[in-house]
Amino acid sequence: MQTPFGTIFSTNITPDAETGIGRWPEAAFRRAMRSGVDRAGRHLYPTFPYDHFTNVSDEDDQALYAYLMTRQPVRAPAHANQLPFPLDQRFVIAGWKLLFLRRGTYQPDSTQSAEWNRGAYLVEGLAHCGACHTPRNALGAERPDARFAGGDADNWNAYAINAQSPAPIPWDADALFAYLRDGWQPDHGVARGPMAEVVSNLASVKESDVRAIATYMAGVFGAPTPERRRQAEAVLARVKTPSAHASQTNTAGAAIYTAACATCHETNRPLPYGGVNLGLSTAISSPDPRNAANIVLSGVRPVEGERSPIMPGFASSMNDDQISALLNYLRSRFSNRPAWTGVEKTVADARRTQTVFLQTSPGPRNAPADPTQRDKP
Amino acid sequence: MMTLKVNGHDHQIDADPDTPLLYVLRDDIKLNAAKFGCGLGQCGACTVIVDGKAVLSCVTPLLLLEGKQVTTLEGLGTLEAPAPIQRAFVEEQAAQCGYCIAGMMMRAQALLQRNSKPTDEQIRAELEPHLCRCGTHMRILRAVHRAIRLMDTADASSASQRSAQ
Repeated sequence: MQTPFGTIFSTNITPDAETGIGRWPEAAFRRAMRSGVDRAGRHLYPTFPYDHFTNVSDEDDQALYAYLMTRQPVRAPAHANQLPFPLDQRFVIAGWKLLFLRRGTYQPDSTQSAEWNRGAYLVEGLAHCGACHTPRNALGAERPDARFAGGDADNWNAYAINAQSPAPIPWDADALFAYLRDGWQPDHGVARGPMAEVVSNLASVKESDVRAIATYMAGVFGAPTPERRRQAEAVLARVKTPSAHASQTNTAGAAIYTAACATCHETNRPLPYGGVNLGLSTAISSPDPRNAANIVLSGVRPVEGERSPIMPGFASSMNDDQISALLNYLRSRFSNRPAWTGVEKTVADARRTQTVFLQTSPGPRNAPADPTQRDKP
Repeated sequence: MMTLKVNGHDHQIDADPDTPLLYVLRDDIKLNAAKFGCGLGQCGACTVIVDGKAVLSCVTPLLLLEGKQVTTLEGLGTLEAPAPIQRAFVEEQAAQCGYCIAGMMMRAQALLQRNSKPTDEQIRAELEPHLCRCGTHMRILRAVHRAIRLMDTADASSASQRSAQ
């Protein structure tokens, strides 16, 4: 995993005795989950999110341990991390923990429903949503004063998922449930990048757990203000009336949109096969243009064996200037936010960082969810 | 009026800049190998090569093609002298109805131009954006593998011709 501090490699958690966790007793496993310490007592880097896993219950740790220890052992020695001095010294992590690790399992809030508490337990613990969606401080710890205010994941912007959400239509529990379950939702669009992987994994999670996550997160987003609600209604009304003002502006961006994008994105053809109207797109309303750039370059590959969204990538047919012109146009036409700055650099960076993905494809990002699992109890 | 380079020839095209390349190829230049399938960039039947890369011509407007080289299936070889990829598809009888095949061949060609020895996995991944309703996928895969061998022998024989001269 690439971090601002260096590259950290995940280690073998199959029950291989030499290179995996085959010799770990359950107590050692639980200690790693709770305190970020390996069997030999060495501190683990917090890229392994024990700051969240510390919330996991004894029963769930026990179940995880039983599951992992009954997998096929694989011999796979760990790669050496690439970290500069002094970060390569593991005692540094002890200081980090002293500052940032809040130990203790999840404590239910008795004023809330059982479903809300289940959602909170999952979100704060195993699902560790904040690991991407909460911004981090200079030392790489999640900022407690900015919970769910938006962060980074593999050169994608993990949107703010609290009251600062840039989504044109406010999220509620039903919309969140549909999105997390299906990977797309008509008023918001499609899960892409690392979130596509998350949604794919959630396909094998019990429906009631996904519902609980949606319930808890709807509370984190909070009820929209009357002003926000009015704006959302205006957006929905605009989206539903066929575009009367179809690009009169004769710019390159407008022409590219008309020719390459509008055939899907402005036909009111429903998701997942039609494109979301970009007036509803969080990528276009977000203060950060990275996701929009990533998606224009690489598109959305369909998931094998099930109904899923699809979009062609334009990396081969558009150069950086053309994509920048397109993005600037989309921002001015489909959001009421100020223009993005530095779009050209964002596009160039996106093309560089996504090269591997663009040329190899279907990597784990598009890992097919097991369709036989989805929507089953 | 713009100049569009297709298969090594310059064509003067009188069309709006937002016209999809596919329409220009088929209607104006009368090159009918690239097919209209979905018009949404979702099926791959319209694939051509632009500057070495496989591109969906139905969602590629003319204005993006200024100064670029477009290659269609007609540009690879002729009936009398088919290109290795074309020979391979014929020899494997990879086409059933044939509607998707031009697009499949163009993307396979683009792949082989940048990687002359792709693995089976890489070929499958590369051709993933293409739909075939007849179900000749296994023949298509065999045809691409055959094309790799044909190109390899072609390279070897032209190399030996060169060394003989």
